[in-house]
Amino acid sequence: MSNVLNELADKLYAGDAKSVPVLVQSALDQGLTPAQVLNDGLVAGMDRVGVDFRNGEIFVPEVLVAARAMHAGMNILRPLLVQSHVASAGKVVLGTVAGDLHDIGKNLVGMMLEGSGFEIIDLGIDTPPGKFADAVKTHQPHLVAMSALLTTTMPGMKRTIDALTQAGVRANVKVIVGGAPVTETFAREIGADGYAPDAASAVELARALVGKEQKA
Amino acid sequence: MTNPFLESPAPNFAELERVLRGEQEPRRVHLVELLIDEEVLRAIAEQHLGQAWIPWGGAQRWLPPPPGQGERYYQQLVTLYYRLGYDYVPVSRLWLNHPAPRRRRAEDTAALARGERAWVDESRGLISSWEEFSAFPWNEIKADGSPCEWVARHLPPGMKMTVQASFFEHILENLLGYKGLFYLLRDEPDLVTEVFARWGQKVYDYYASVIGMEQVGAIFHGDDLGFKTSTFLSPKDLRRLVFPWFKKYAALAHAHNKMFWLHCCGNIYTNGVIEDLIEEVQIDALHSFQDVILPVTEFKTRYGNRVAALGGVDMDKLARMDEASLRPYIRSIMNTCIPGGRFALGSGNSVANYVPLENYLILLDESRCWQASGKV
Repeated sequence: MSNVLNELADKLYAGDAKSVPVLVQSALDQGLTPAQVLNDGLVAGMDRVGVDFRNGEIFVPEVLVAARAMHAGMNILRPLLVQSHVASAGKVVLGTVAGDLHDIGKNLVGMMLEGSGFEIIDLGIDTPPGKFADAVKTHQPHLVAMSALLTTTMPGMKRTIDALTQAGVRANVKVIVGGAPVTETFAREIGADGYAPDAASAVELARALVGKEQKA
Repeated sequence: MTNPFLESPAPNFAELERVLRGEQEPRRVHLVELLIDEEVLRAIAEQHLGQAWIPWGGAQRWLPPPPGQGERYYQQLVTLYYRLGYDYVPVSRLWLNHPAPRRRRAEDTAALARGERAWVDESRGLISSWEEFSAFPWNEIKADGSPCEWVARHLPPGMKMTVQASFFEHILENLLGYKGLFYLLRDEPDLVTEVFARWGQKVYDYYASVIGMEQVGAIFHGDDLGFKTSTFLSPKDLRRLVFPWFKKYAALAHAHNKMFWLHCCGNIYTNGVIEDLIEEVQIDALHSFQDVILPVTEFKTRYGNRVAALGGVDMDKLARMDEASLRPYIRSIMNTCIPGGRFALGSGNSVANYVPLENYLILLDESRCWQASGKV
């Protein structure tokens, strides 16, 4: 990997939102392709963030400032990626389920996924089942990711999966779930395709599920 | 369980203290809760006590009620906690002149729904700059100790109250906001330090104003520090910003020969900050247990010779298990945790309005069956 990409990954990891766009531009000026800058610079940096967050070496503030730096770089890179038809790692519809107002966990998952090259459609908090189903019809994502912090809102995950089935789109997407009271067992009970205990694991899960789908 | 009320309650906070300090084996199962949601207490009062519920009466829970209403409200709480078998009543503080926090609202999906459920706007708090810090009414905000005085007038013999406030969580949810704090730690670290210093002192001043009351048994401080897999902040930041204040609150309680109980959600084990809480802060008891993080039975095994465990019945299980599963689960906790003391039974977090009332009554019933079985 070139020096500029190494430095870009380092600055992103450090959450340096001023240096990241400068380095993105510098990498492009040196003739690197937008895909190289994305994958070997920004995504490489966010991958380190994800691993260290999962291992308890960095914490939520460090993840947020790294994601902010990623955004600063993507502002330059995104139009170029579109122009050069670089495909995203996958498309994800993301939301906190109906009745639940918590969004930090969901946002962390969204940031980590975006930082790993996924395209995110964030439906926000308190998302009714029908809104997930409509979003799947509209955006045709690879994944639906749902979050719930409260035991009382967890049934909203099952209702959302049912809504996807009723809308005839369940077979088109993989469904992953997470949140404080959510467990692997609960995920299986409601017919989800996967469960992740934290944001970094959600990225690995998404990569595995989208990878499988693309091979199938 | 047809009637959750004891015929002859015999609250004994002094014994609860001795049990939690490990100075004696419990003679009965002592109960603890940080909070029982109002909808739950109301259902119990109306269904089993035959009393009309006296509402708080304030426009919001943190705002003062009309004159006279607050005392009647707390008097009913004393009666309920007493008849249910608790040794204390948890009493919250009132912050007068505090700007209204930002809130989001959604339909409440709980069994005993309150119409809508509110939660903080996690995107930002009341202070996001030095200008807003300067304009914030720090000097006007006062802690009102009236609830303690109301409760003190109605406590039966043997019963005490615990006093509670939050420091870190108040900053996280209201003053700086989640994202606000996380970004400001990088962008304006001095502002963060100053907000922590100001609010830390406010909470200290409140505790100092009530800890000397004879009827106050303990500080039951409430501050969630993390989530399922970690703490929000690094141990380094917690040690710089949060734990020095915890240490002051604990020292204040100890100076009055009272205990410092800490309610703290989140995984405080994998990065070792539990050791800070036990050794540096010198908490006497920890409350809030989630089985997916560390079951209370495991906590008792690891730390039970140094600190007491409060509660322990996992919220998800309390909310979702049927009776056939819930009873043996609660018994298994009591079997492990009661011998040797340093334990009191209760929910892992709170008796929220989404906990089926029957399941809460099963928890109470199991504590009494254990007592009746002669194991204690």
